[in-house]
Amino acid sequence: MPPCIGNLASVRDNPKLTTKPHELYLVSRDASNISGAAGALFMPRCLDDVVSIVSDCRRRNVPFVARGAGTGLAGGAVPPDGAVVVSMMSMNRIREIDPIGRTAWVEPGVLNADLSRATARYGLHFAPDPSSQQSCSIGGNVGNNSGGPHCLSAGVTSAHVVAVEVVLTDGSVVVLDTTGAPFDLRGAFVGSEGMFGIATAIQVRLTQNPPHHATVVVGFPTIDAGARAVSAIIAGGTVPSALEMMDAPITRAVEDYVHAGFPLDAGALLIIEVEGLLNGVESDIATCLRVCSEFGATSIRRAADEAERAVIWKGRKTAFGAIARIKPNYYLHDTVVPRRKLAEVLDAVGSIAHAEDLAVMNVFHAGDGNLHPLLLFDRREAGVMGRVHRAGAEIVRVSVEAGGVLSGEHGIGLEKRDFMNLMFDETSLAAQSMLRHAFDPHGLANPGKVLPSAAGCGDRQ
Amino acid sequence: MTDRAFSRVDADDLASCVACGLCLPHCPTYRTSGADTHSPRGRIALIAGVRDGSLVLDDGVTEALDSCVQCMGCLPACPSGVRYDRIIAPVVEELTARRRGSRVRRRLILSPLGRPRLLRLLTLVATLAQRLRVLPRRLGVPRLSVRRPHASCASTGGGERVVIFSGCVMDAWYGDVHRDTHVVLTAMGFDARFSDPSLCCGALHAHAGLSSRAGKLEERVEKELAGATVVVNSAGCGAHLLGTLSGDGDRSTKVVDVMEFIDANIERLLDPYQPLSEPLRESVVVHDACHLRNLQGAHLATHRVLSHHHRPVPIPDEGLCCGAGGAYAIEHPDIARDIVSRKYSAIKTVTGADTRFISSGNPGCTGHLVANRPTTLSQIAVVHPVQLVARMITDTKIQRGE
Repeated sequence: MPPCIGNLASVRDNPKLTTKPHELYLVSRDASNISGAAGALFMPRCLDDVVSIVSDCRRRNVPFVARGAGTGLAGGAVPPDGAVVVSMMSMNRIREIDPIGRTAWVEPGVLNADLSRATARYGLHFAPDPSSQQSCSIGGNVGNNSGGPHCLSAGVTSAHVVAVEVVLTDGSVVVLDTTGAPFDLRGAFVGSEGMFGIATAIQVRLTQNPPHHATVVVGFPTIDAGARAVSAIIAGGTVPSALEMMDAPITRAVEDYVHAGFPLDAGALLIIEVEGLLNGVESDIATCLRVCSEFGATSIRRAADEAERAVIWKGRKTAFGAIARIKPNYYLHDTVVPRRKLAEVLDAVGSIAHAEDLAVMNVFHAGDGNLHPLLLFDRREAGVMGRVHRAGAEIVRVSVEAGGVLSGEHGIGLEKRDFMNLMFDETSLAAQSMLRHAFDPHGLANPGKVLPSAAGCGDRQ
Repeated sequence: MTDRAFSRVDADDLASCVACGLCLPHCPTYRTSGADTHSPRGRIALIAGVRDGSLVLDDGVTEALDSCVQCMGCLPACPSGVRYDRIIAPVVEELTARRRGSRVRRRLILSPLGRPRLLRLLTLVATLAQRLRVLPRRLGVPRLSVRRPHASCASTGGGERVVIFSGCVMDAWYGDVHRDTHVVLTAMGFDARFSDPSLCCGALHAHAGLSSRAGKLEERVEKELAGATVVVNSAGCGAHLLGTLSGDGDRSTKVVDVMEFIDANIERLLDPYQPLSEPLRESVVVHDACHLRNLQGAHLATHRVLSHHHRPVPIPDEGLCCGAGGAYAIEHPDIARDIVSRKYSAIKTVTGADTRFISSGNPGCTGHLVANRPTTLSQIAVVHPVQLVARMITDTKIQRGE
């Protein structure tokens, strides 16, 4: 038993906890390749349930992990051995929608896409749109400060969270917002990956649905040409609502599934979407396309209607899953590099994968330099995991060296924890630890994540 | 024994799941329970876990796998193209075989299917029970009648010949849908005849993991209907027949859902029965049966056909299953009820005081929707879409004085 695990057996007396092996087996993993070993599973239905389990864990010194839909890619929801997994998926009510103030109070288990569906009748939506938005929960979005294609202009989750109701490790309930306090504790909580407590309700900001949009798929002969066009578009002063790029191999995999009519002969595809008032949309898209032509665009196709637009986005957003058509497993990275270095880093990623004899595909948020290289492999192949991890580490190193950061939106979790010192010096890591300590002095909330030498439990692991 | 469990499931099929979770919102049991054990991703991991020995096939695993409605909503949602249908079918069969009690019970429940005289006898008893109000409403049995209203439907003798698949339950319980199917196809100039009611497609048996009985029934159907154009008005039968008849067997047998058939020959309907102008069209809430949407990909035909004389309104829940699932609603009444109440919540967002119809192309869905219809929606009838077309034809004829 890990040293920081307290008396789990006594926590298990709670009749609402389940310890059935098959249930624990499933909540011991997320959508990454990492797994742990949950000690118990708890599915709260209301705030009181959360308070009771967190208080119980505190009394008996047992760590706990809040879990959403389990679509995370960095192991953030993977439980440390013996932890209680608190699955928030039964707390899934939209409590109120305020169409005038353009906000809504939702429980953490509400699915991202469901929220936008529910607010559609007011002409409003929740702007962060991770590729997993059909499945992922708002709670998970808050935990990871999730992004998505349209966050290029709209900003990531933090920009869309007004307040969060949180159960802290000592069982107390606080509402973190931007009013009153000297610090923006709400801002600190968003993206804290479950280490500051459990969010039980979130007040989100809703965004007006744009009256018009133009969605265009542009083919380029090479990734390099496309990446230069992306950099030039933004340097020219136009910020489209989304600028997404897919390389040729992933385009073929996706086209096989969605039949979006993507050009299969292009070296790279750029999906450009512009939203707003009609005249602005037309003038912006014309500017973007002029720049694309300057950089040698080989094909331009504009979505004729909403159905065509939907299928383009479906292709982009299901790209990761479509990989299995080529290899059964993938390791997805999430680093960010300065836009002008895109071409150079992508080149390096290609060489790294080649050196480890791995196939690599790229689908990414080009507009904000957020790379998503996917290394493809078959787990059943002997020795392949070593090669995958070496290549992954190298990709992170190259990205950081180019002036980039470890993660754009998937979070640090377990996956990037040990790379934190590539980016942060001891002083800033210590400052982060202190902040974590201020929220959770006992280190029971999702310990062992993010911080390589976290105060409390993580120290001793 | 457990080490050999699920060895018939293809290892590559299991490995093709990358656990991305994009299937989750399309699974009715996950939607209602929020539990990973009740999701396609979870079930695949459990099967893989049992297969590789990380998990023991205990009651918990069995319950999780058993709770799958087999709506296949995860199939079109999966970007990896995981063949969940191929994964779950042998598992359900193995689980049924392992539990003698459940096997016997399922065989007993399904025994009248494909035995029309026995089914009619039981229908007579059930009709009496229904009149005496002792038949539980939750069973989803429609208002029964000992009459078979389609029995008098005569062949017109002219036009291209098509066979309306009689089926077992459809024939005994939904004779009015059969009669209306005949009305529509005849009006479109086809020579429509019914197949022998002893021909059962075997779908419910296969769904319940009783493959040998299903196989026997399938064999008979294949022999009797070889070469025919088979029009099916039960989506469940249609999907199964498509799988068994149009597969590697006799390829000249054509199986087609009745709404898809009308859609493909729509000019034959619109020529005598011109589309109505927009304000005259009545709105109809269209429930897409999983068999049509997820397995046949044919659900849009219903929307298209209805759009000429009605105003089809889709249910805004991305085609989530209603929870009927063959005998599922009988074996898992609690989960099935949760699923259907979610369906009705979505339906309520698109119905008005003047909504009179929900259309459903599958008898299983129809029964389940009727049995669980909330009292606030009691004015709404659940009908087969072909009945709406038939009613339009009859009304037009009356107006024309024919």
